[in-house]
Amino acid sequence: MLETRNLHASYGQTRVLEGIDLSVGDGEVVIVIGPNGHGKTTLLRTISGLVAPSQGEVWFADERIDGARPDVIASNGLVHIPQGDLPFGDMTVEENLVLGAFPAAAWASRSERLKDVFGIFPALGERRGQRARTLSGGERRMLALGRGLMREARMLMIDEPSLGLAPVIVNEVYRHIERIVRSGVTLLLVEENLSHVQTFDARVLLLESGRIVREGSVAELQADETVMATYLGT
Amino acid sequence: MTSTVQAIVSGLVTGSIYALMTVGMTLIYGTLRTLNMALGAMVLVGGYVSWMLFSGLGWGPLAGLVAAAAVTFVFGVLIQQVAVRPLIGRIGVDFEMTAFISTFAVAIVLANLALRIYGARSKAVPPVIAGRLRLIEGVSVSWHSLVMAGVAIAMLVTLGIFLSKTRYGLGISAVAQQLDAARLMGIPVQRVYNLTMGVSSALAGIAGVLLASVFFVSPNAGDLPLLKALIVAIFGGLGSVRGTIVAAYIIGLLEALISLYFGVKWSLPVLFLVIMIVMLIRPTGLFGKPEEARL
Repeated sequence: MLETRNLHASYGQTRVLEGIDLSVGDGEVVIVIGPNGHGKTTLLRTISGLVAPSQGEVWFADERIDGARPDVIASNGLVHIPQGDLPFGDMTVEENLVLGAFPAAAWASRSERLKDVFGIFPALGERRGQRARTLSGGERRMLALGRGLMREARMLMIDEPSLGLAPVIVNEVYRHIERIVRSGVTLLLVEENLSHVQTFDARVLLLESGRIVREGSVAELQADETVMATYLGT
Repeated sequence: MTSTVQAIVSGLVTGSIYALMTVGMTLIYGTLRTLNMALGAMVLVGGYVSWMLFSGLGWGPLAGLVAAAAVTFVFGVLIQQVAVRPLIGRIGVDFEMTAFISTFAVAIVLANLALRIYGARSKAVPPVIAGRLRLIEGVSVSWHSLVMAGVAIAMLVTLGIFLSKTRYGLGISAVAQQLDAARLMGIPVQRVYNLTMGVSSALAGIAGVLLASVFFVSPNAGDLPLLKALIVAIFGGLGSVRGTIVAAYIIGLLEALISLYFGVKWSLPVLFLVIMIVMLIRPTGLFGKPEEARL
């Protein structure tokens, strides 16, 4: 479904990604972990076209997408739920969600999808007329997830869904993500460590200094004490 | 008493026109984060379109409204493509300032083209409806002013519905509030910029037609409306469409009341004084927001 080949990206003089080769198969769940500031978010932003790669290729559903505009990539079914949620703060919950269905194909079925999302996240339904900036951290995260479910996703990318939330809320968020995973969606998930994804049947990549330095199952990486101690401080 | 009522009525009419101009400025500031100094030139273009249709074909100002809106919409998109888009995303260049200068250059070019093509003499356009409506004893308002206010308010309501209910209207607000998220939703940002410039320019063009039969059309017909729009913009803070409309009516009323009590010559000096006081007390303007959140 997704493949990157020798992907490089930098911010000005600072090189962030230094040759990432990864692939996510159809229906597969891949989790990228690693310490903060080593390029996990930039990897997702480069794949979805928000950051232009300085070198390398990105392939999505048999099409080369590096250099394509982010709106074109998004309309092709690559749903990126960004770090920090990035809600449209002065718009209502409902308007935020409806904008998730912006691509023409999704726009026609926006009311049905809105109903579905309110079914999954009843709290959003209760707050549909409320401005997004007044939501709690947990509700904002649900809104970001819900906004991503408003259009047909061939693949989902979620960037650190546990960031900045109380542990109880994180568990709730991950209950929803697990449900999404069980529906058979292809997923590329970024997290800082493995504590929230222990039950996932997934391939894990460890990203450090812009390179993938280790690959394995969740259990394998957890068993590797040097990895855990060196990179993740656990 | 009657003269105060008269001043309030005329203040509401001019406020509607100011709102029409400045709402466009707010939309552009919200999405592109720059001031469009060519909006005054759109008043000019709208006025000349209306005059050409009248003098050439004998069409009235209402036909001129539609034609001017269409022509200025195209002008807006062209200005975006030629004078603004090439400046976006240049490393080491302050986009807000360069786009400000670049659109100002467009305004100068268009005004001088108008001078070259049409000459310096003012062109007269008849009012939409002649005559005056007597409101109460001693207070009357010209039918044309009522049409001006009516058209302006209808445009503002339509704009409000467009922004909150339609796909691309919501897209404009989305781009203004969270650019990265808007792109991730699949919103084509360049098209939204074109649309914003087109709509804002069309609103100014409509203002130009409405003003044409009050002030005549001449190559500098856009200067005063632009200045007033900037005053409203600074006063209101360009933070939201609603705030801008309120600010426009406050400035319109203030101007009319100053003219009544102190004479017309004091209206601009007092407005500038008000702006200075607002800037000292609330540097972001009355309804401006300090952070990124706008529209």
